[in-house]
Amino acid sequence: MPSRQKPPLRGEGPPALRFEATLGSANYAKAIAATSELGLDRLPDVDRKVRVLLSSDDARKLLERGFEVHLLAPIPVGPLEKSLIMTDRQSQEWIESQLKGIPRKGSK
Amino acid sequence: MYRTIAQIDSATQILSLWFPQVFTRVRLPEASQEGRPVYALRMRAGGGAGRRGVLIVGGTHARELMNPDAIVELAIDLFLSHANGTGLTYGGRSWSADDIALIVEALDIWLVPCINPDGRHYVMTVDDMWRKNRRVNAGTTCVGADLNRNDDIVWGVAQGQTSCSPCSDVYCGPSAFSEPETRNVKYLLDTERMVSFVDVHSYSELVLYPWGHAPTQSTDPTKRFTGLTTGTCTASIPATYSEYMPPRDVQRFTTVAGRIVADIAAVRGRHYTPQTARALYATTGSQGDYAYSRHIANPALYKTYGFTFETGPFLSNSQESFHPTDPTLVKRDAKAGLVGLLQQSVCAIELIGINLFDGEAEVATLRTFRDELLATTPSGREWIALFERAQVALLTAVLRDPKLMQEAADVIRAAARAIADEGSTFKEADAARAARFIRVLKTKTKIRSLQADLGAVIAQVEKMAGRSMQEVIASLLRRKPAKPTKSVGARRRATNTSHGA
Repeated sequence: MPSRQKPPLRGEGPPALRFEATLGSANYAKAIAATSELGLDRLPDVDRKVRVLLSSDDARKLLERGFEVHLLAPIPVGPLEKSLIMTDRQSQEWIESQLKGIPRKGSK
Repeated sequence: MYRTIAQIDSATQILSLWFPQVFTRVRLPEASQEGRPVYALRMRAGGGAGRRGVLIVGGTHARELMNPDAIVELAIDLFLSHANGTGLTYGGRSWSADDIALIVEALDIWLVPCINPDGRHYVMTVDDMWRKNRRVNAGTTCVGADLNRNDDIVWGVAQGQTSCSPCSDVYCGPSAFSEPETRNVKYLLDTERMVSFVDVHSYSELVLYPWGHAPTQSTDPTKRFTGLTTGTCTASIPATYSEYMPPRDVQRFTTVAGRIVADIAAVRGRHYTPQTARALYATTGSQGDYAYSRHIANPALYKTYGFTFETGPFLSNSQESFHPTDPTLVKRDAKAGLVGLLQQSVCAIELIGINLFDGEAEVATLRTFRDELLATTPSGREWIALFERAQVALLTAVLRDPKLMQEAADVIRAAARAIADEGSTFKEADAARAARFIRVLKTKTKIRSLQADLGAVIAQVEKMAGRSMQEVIASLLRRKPAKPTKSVGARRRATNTSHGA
């Protein structure tokens, strides 16, 4: 089973460089259709804007179709920040502390 | 903090090994695309066969990291509450020990915290924005299928947020149920009697219900997905098409979703929106829609009410929204919504009828009456809604009191007997007994609106005493429960507190 893998190259998965972006368009349906056509990863947006995760190549294609593309932030391809992942010890200690005092199978 | 897939598996293993009287871990028939095992955890206290099942799944989309953790923690919260005989509190929302005991002792709760273990592993080791599973798509260098587009419901109609391109993040896979991960969920729906299903996603603070592929309508039953051309990746759904849903199911979805949203709001004031999946965007092959569609495609199957939660708000950016630095509060909201769904999956009549007096026939009679007669008119559906409101609030009080439980069983028997014979009369004695029972129930609640509901039932029962069952049924179908009339004092108070322009 693979453990830690190298970030993928273009085509194998996500592109090496990508952005979170919104599409500016007077025609919401047209913008949605364009994201579907390009197979873009559409992200939820509270203001019902068309928010996507895209590569610079995707952004170019959208610009060529006449859309305004607002790049909001670069989203680097990388694993989840390590500090956000529980260690095995933390995980075990948490469950032990939760279940402390409850008689277990085989306990006297 | 988020658990690795190994830690999630370890938690479910610990629960099943330490507390086998409550938890059973089941390895699902298929390993993931990369060969990882996928586990379901069944939670139930006490015995009894043929229980109503609720299936809760998470981790469908790999980057939505909070939900598998929330599902594991929910199992532990319910267990501790039941084991210690304490209630369960999430922020401002509390359930009594009796409420939790009822859930755990009446239902089979099936939890699959993470249906997509490969995706979760990939998020933690390679790309934290990965969404799909890790299928190798032959003939392309693109990886993965979207597990919430792969089910056999209008599969292969690439519209809106569904694509037939393997490089798309919403790729539906090469065929319906091509993925072992979705087949595992189907296996549970095939083999257990699930009355409710929820697929827990992030983010947007939504509670979604069918349909996702088209707007929902309740007027033209000929418009069914079974008549659509699907499965080709070239077919499309006509722009004017709307999918039929019987009014009774629309009511059930909207009322259950409304109560889930209220439960979540009570925690800390987050306002989730209940809506059809299509109102978010068009999708095909989703798990929530599939779960509900099964009984339509094959009437021999149980009806499963399928929901999708989108937990958590939009934060500063999509990465932070999918996996916040501190997900504690979002998980608490999600767990409250899940407990709300579990609570509404208990059926009072089934519980009392089948478990207390072996009354399968009576329960079947009442179910048929509800679904095939009462549900066909707006007034009848109001009566159903009233009953469902009352049962959530009062069932624990009934079960706690053996005398009341016996009276409930007698009322159910009498009702089923009368309904089964339309030529009969609603006997004065039965009416008096039912009214007496409901009066006692009325004393068990402090909720004014519920007291008013029960008052409306007593009025109806007394009015119908001695009439033919045909008249009784016609009245229920024609007349909604009476609205309580305000007393003069109440009217005066309302006038005094109203605000001028």
